[in-house]
Amino acid sequence: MTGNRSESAEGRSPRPGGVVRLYPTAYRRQHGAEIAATLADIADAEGGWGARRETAAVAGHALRMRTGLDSARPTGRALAGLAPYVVAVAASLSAALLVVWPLEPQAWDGERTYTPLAYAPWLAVLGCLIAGRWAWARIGAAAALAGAALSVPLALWSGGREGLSQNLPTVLGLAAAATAVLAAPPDLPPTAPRARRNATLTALALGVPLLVASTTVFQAVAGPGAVESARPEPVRVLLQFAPLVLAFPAALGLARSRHGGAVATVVVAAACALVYEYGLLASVPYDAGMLIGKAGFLTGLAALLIRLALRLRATRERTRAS
Amino acid sequence: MTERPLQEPTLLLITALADAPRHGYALIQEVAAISGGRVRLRAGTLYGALDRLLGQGIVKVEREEVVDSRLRRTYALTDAGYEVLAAEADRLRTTVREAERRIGLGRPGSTLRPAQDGAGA
Repeated sequence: MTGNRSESAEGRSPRPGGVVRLYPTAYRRQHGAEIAATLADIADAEGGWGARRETAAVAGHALRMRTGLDSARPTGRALAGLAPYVVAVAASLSAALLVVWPLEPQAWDGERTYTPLAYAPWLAVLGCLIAGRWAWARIGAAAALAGAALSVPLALWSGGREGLSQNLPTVLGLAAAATAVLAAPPDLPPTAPRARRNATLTALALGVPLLVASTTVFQAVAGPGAVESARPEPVRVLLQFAPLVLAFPAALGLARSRHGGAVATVVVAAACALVYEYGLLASVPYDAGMLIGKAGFLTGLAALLIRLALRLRATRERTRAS
Repeated sequence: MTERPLQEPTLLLITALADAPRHGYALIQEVAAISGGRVRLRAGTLYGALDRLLGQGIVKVEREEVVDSRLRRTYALTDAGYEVLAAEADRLRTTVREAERRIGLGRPGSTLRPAQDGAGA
């Protein structure tokens, strides 16, 4: 916090213990006693259960402080702004995987295993977000994280090493999405109509093509003069569609954010370097690396152009007003 | 100070500070009372928001004292904080006034009549 708080009272309050020790040292020295006192007040009023919930919330704040993801810092605010999109992407993929899971495999599909425990909670998370129930959405994200953790041994048990290696990237991706939702600062919940509308539109723009493409049977070339029925994998469809769907909101968000110009420049430079040095992009599954690289370049460029246009408009309006 | 509408926890927090300076636990209680029990700020959420509002110059530390061997740090709104709250109240008032006007137009039998200028919320 700001430096206008005196530290004179430090040491006169109950010794901050337990959860307060999770804070970075400098922050704990300045605010630990105060936060411990508030926790003690809550414990007096609400008893053990309330105190445990508050302790968990304080632990979350301490971890955000340690990782630079608290709402006082730009990274935390950026994560809060990204959370609706993370939910929309994870829920779209999960919906497609849940729909494909019970379908009879086609001749050319290959062996596919699924981990529905990791997918199902995301539909509830998206529903809660759209309904403006962010606290419930966070509980759903915790369930999604637990589902992803349980899916690893289940995939190994049901599909062996092959099943595990097939599912691991998807399960890890969904676990990372759940972690991002839980890490986003809870004092900036995406409950405003705009955030909920953006999440709904992104989920529709990504989810509908994903569902349609993932359930469409097509004729795969199996050999010279031979074709077999197959369905595209939902993850492959996601990697092809997501850069196209997310490019515009990402460009707009970058153009409007305070440090968007610097970030967009870095994105353009990184995309150029990656496209030029194709090795890294080639490691992206399903040959989606080049598309992602080009989409990143165009997104950064569009953000810079939109930013310039917004600046020019603001200057023109200021000139007109004066 | 801010062009976008305030998010609900922030609005409730600075509303809770508008009439009197308050310490952490009192703020949690006040926010619950203002929202009719609908919003219950967790301590982690409260201190995250206070950090941000202190950094933005919306809130300041009024005083600190030790009560029953517990440190109480009391927060208050700054002048900029009052401006932000007044601007948000004005924005909400405009929306409410328009909503009431349209309810009056859409439902002839409604007890809500189109609001007169300046007599909205």
